[in-house]
Amino acid sequence: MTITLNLKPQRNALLRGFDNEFHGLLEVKHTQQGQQNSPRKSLNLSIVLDRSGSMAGQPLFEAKQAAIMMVNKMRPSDQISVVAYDDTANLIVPSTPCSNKQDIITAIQNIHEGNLTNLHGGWIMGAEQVATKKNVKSINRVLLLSDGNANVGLTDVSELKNQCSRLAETNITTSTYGLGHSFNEELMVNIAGAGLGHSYYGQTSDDLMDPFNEEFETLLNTVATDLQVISESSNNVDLELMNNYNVVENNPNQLRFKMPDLAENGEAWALFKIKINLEHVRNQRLEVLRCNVSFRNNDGELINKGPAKIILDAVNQNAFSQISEDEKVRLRITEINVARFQDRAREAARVGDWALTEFFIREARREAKGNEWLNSVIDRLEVYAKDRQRENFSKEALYSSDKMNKRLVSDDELNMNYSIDLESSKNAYLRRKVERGKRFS
Amino acid sequence: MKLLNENKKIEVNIKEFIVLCEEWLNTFLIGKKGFIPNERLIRGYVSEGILPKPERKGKESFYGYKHLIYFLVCRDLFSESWPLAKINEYFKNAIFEELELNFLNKYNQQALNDSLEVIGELKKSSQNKIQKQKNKETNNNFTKSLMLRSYQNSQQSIKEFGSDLNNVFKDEFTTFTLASWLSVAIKTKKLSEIDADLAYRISNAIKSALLDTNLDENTLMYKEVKQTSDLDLKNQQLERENFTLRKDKSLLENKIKYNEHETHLKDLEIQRMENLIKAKEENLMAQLDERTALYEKQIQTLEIRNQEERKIIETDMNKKMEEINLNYQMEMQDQKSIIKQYEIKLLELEKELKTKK
Repeated sequence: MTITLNLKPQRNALLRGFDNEFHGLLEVKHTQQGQQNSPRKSLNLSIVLDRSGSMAGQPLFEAKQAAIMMVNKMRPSDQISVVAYDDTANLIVPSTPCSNKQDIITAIQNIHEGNLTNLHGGWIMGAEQVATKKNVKSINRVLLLSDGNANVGLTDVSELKNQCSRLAETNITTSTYGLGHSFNEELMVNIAGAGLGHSYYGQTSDDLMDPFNEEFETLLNTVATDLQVISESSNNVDLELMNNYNVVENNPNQLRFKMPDLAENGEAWALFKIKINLEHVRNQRLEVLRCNVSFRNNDGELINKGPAKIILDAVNQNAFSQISEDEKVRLRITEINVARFQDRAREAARVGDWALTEFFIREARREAKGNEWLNSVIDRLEVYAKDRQRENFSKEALYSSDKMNKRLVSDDELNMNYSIDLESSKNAYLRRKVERGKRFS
Repeated sequence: MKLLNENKKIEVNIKEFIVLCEEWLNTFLIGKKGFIPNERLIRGYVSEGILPKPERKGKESFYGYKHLIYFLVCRDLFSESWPLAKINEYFKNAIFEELELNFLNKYNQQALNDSLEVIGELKKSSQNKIQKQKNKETNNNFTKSLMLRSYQNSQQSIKEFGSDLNNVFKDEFTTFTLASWLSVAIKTKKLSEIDADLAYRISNAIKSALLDTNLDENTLMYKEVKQTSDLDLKNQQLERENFTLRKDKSLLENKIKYNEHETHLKDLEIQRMENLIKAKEENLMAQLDERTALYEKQIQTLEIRNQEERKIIETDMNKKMEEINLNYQMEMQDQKSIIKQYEIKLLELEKELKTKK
């Protein structure tokens, strides 16, 4: 197993006599060498289920089925705990090795609906269970499911986000699952982002199993956790991170941020916007950017990789125009731009300005050009916009944009065609879905 | 009891490290009494790989919590007669966190779990935040001040400020807060009498009261309220338009920037294509000239060759024609002589025939 670092510019030169603004792409890639699989990280999970009144019936049944599926897939040495919350949080299964699966499943099946939604109470109880069995060699994660707004206990979004972030610093991460049309998507996406986990949602309870599967495959195939990037630029270079990763430190010449966990055969990436004024583009070669990456491998060891550098020569216009644009960098720029247009369209839809929403959708489509997958994503959003389905539009746009910012990519995406069959053959966490809230089909 | 893991953030030089080691060896009663570690021993452990290398900062080396744990575990095992080579091998295969946990458990030192610590802090801060949230809600809810308002002034005192009532009444009200700006207060006692029909009639009365412009005392106030609310609405609308315009502006600015960049790149591309076309044209013209000259030369040589060949062919033909003519004439002469012979023979034969007859 090898993890490689690659940093490349949009064009392999600087344009002399002009202000230069271009992008750089950092790729952290895992490649499997040979047949031998690296040892898997053990899991230390807490499944936190919403059992408020609105979950009664099919939603609670499907949520329990998803939890049972997770339990069935876990190894006997993995740790599991289950919490259910309504007004208060109840510990259904205290943290225990997943050896006696039947007892755990029976306990999950006995969860019944209650009243309100004390999301914070449930989350913190789950986190406490994970903390008691925390280990550097395991993936320590809270899986939080909700179908509504937090309305009991701590409900302030920014405070919940801060708390998830603080816990993530101690190596306990949080993934969230939103269900239906009434949950607060900003809360769920933000706490998963701050908690260094993943955010998923399902429009119906039928769509819920897919995200749990995706999470489980990610957990099973994780090869590096706690990825942290330190990017440094010289005084004359303005640097901006385009992805919405958690920035730990943002000094004028140093940017430190966290990336999502890396899973087998996946590639984590970060896109930078780089600006250099014309007076600094001289004849000598210029080191524009350097990146170092640290992560924990499956043995819990801290590994450092790098530095990867972008060093460019300044050339005249004629020479510059003959240097072609890197295809992969262009693809990522397109994706980030489409994600940003989705965010703007969502903001406009939230205030009911559908004309502006449609304008941003058109802009996103123009940006997507011949990319079949991005166009299919925009098609679905367009349907919600035309039908004026504000909640659906808002959720789909937010989750889709967040995923585009943070997703792991596979190495066959340079082809602009999109094939369901090809995507199905990939690991669930590498699949490009057309609609985040629906099952992959 | 002193806790070993309170030293988690230490960063000390070798002399301070030795003091620390000695202190903890004595605390846990590890090894022989009176044993004092020295610099040579510590450096020896580092060179053998039992202790990790200290962190160098300038000229000095610094030791931390990890070094302390490894040293204490090593001395503990050594006191149990483990040879150093075995200890070294054991350390190489063990995870530090496990070593630390086992050691702390052995000496009844509770391992600090940073996550549990953080969760404890989060719980505390959450409780404070929830309390503050509740207090804020209470302060904001002005209907609370209406609720349970009681009039306990004496009959006299209310007359002094010109009250239109003869007595003081004490009532309890229940408020229904429908929005942060809308509350309805109803006598608590009356509440049990309200059925669906009465509720409907009350809602109609409230609607009429709100919309009635002829209310004497409140007309002005209503107008003002309406004006304020209209202004609020307009303000909101303007804010929204402002927001949209700002978004549009920033979008257009981005688009302009992007277009400028695109135009610049396209200009470059056009210039490059023009140069390429020009260069190609020139190249083609030069090639054409060259080829034309070459063809002309070739045509000339071909023509010369043609003329020469034609001449040769003509002379050959003439020669051949002459030869053929000669041959023909000779053959003709031969034939003629043969014919003559035949004629002679024929005459002879005719003569013979005549004689025979």
